[in-house]
Amino acid sequence: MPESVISAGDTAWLLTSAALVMLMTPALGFFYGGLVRRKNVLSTIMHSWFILALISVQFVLWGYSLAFSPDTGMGIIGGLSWVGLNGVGQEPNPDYAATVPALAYMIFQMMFAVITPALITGSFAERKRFKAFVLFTLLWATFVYDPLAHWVWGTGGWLRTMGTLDFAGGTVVHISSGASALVAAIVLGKRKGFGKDAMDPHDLTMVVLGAALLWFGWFGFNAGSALTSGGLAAQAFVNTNTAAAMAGLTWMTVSWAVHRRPSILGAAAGAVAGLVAITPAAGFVTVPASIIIGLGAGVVCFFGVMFVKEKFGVDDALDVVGVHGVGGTWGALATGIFATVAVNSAGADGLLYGNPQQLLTQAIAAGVSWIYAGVMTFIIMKAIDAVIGLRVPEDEEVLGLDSTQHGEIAYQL
Amino acid sequence: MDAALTLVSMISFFVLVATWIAAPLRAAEPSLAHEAAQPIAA
Repeated sequence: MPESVISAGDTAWLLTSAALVMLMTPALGFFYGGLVRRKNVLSTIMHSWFILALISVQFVLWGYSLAFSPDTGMGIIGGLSWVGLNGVGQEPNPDYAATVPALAYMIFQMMFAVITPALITGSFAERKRFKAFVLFTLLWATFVYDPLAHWVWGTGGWLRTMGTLDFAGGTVVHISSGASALVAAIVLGKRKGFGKDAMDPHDLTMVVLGAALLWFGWFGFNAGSALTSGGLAAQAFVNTNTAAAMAGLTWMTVSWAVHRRPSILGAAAGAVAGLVAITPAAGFVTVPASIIIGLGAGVVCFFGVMFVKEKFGVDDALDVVGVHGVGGTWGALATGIFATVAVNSAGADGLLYGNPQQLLTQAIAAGVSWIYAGVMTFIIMKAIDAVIGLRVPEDEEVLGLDSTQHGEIAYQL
Repeated sequence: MDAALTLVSMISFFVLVATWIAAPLRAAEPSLAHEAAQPIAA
């Protein structure tokens, strides 16, 4: 392929976007770290930090090959021909991004593979053994994330062939992590004292800092998914900011009505919910539609969080199910409602533009993602529990995971 | 040569993973003294 095919602008934007998405994982560590009690802040941040390193190597060695190398048949999984990035070099791969080096596309995708298992860690915070977490992450990335990424984004992937629209990972990233978080929280069981003792966030300033960095990084996540530095990236960028803002305003308003206070935690969590919901739609919908998507996210995610914890009694410690599972599902369905080829000719029209079939396609993709991620997570969790055990002993849970799992404490006050 | 390097890097990675799985359960005990000096439920 001639060298002139590579676009300097597109490559610069995609590499910058990869760096922005990289920042999201430690940002998530701070977001989650502020939400836990102070005896567990380091162990919570460690989850995200460790995953950044672990999946960076896993993806190079075999993850990228399973997700994106040529299909092995039936659209289920890629092969092993790209193990160790064999054949993934400085020339573009037109199947994925025709104007950037294949390595640039790979590193961008790697950052998605990194943050997805990190999202799940919020559900099992404050009680999971570190080595169980390590093994879970490696198995989950290999047997859940990589196949799902292949289904939706890989050449020959069956959901991609079916016509699913997922601009930046509503199904692959958010529904998969939300469904897995639900199963993980149920299998692991509640924290000691859940529902009786106060488990308030120990540092809301850290939460807001984490949310701010997530918002910043999300511009790379969504606008980078245009894979070019032109109009579509700008569209996704504006949609992303608009939905985050609207969802933050909406969640805070609902929270104000229910709890009688305009909560900073609500405003921050709402913005994250909006970012989640706009993710699959960012490059397929108009800006006014992104306002509606943000509005919906603020409402459904707020009540999603309440239902999971208060009605169902599931100790999803940091609300991964309500924000990512519910928000991702709303975003996937909203894409089937609001998508229009006027925004992206490579997409499709949604329900509002005369194509109800697209909404059905989106619902199937969302449902399949929930079921696959949930079932596989159950199998992986049970297997790890049988071999090395999932949960720290009760006395260590009381002392906190920072000291008992890592031998460190966060604050010398 | 590339295949050999990939094989060696793969083995190196799995040696690390095996080390983590086989590592002792408890972290260093002295940290518990620090923790005991603080109210743990905060």
